[in-house]
Amino acid sequence: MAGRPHLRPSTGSTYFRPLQHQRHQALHTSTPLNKNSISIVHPVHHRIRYKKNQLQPAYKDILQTPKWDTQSHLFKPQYTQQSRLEEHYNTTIASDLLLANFVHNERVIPGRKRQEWDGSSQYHINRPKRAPAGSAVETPDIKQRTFKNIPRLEAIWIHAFVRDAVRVNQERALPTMVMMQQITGKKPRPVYSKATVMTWRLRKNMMVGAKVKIQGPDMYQFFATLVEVVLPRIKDFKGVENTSGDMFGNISFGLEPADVKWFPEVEGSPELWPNLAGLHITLVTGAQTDPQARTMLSALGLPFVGKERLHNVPSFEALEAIDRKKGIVYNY
Amino acid sequence: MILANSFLPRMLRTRTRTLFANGSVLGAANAPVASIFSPQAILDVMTYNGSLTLSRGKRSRAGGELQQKHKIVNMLSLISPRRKQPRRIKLSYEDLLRHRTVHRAWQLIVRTKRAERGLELQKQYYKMKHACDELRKTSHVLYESAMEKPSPIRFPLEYRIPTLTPPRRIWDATWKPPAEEKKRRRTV
Repeated sequence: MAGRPHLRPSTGSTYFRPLQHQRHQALHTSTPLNKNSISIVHPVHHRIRYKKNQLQPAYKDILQTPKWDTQSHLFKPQYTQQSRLEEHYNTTIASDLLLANFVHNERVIPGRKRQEWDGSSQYHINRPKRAPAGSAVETPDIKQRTFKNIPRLEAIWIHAFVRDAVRVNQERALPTMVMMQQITGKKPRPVYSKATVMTWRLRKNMMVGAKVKIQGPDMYQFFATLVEVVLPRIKDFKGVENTSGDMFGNISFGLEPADVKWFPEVEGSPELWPNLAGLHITLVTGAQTDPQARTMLSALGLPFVGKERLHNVPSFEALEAIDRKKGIVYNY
Repeated sequence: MILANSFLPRMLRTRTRTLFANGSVLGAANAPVASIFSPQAILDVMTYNGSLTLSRGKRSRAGGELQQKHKIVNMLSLISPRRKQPRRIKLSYEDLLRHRTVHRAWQLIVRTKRAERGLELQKQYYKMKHACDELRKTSHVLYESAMEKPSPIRFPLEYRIPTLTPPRRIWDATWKPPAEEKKRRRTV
């Protein structure tokens, strides 16, 4: 043991985190260990893998530079302008939404959870719990809506499937990818097919589209452009369907190829953008249910049409009645 | 920040310079070249699938095919990290300290404002709760009618995101919403 060096990452100054490789190593592995990682000295069991070559002193300053620092290679100047929409939300809409969503003496509405077996059989003992009633997977509880969880726009996912990339040539997906970068300001990633389908002439690992997730200032900029410039110029657009949504506060809708040309970045030079595809847009919100998400988005300027689809959860009165039968009485 | 460029071996320096346009030495840690989302990876996939052939020895006929390849390479270069990454700002140590101080001060302002907003909302919430509690004690009928909520709750379509400058047409107080159209609506 003596004489063998214990290699440890230098901690550096106080606000710099120690250099870590974020993947945790499995307890057992049949594959040889990565030679780049740190050597394991007998009593020390590193759960976190280190890239050994980065422990050399020359790397210290650079690797420990935080993202917000101008000297970091990951630095991106973010607050270069005011975010009109975000400020509007913070100053006006947030308090309005708090009022609109307020329910007096609200209780947590439990989600659908996995159920216990009744124990009538001896085989129930180690059997996994039953699937939730009416659902294949568990659903989250709906918590009280307070000042802490006011719904807000958290992220936007934009996805495009380019049919010509399968039919004609994969390079047909590239203009759409570049267009997505132009309108969002963020680099999209390609989408590859997962399976081979002979009848569609689709092979595994073909590039069939692109997708990108935007957050923060980029997201607000994109949403404001969408709501103020693009959607009003679509001739027969009336609004997003009220039936859209995944039950947990995320609203999706689509834009057709003809609609995409109204983005200012595309409109200026239409001849540069051949073979554009439509976009699937998913608005990820902090709302717990779809109706609340729609209320929030309508405040940001997105119109909705059609019959409202309410969230299918037991009402407060129904929950109270169940509790009364059990003998639980709430005194507010 | 004192960059350790000069401490690194020459080979490593030149290699990293090819990777990052902003002069950062960090190449080996998370080089985008190795990512499956990089332009190089896209190019690899396309050549592997046979939809694109890029070989140095192969003679291509002048015209369409070659132009097409140039187009693809151009588009890929548009989304490359090199294109998006600006050059690193070179600052002296004193300037860097100043820059960081300003950054921290700005973060402090942002944090304070956020805390203030949170406190305002908290106050509003407890006031509403208190008012409802009082109303429940005072009159049950009034309380029940106050608890009724419209469904769905929507902000009016005319509600706009405010702008820095006033609109060309100033607010029309006499404006009324147009009558509902009976036509079939298209939705997205």
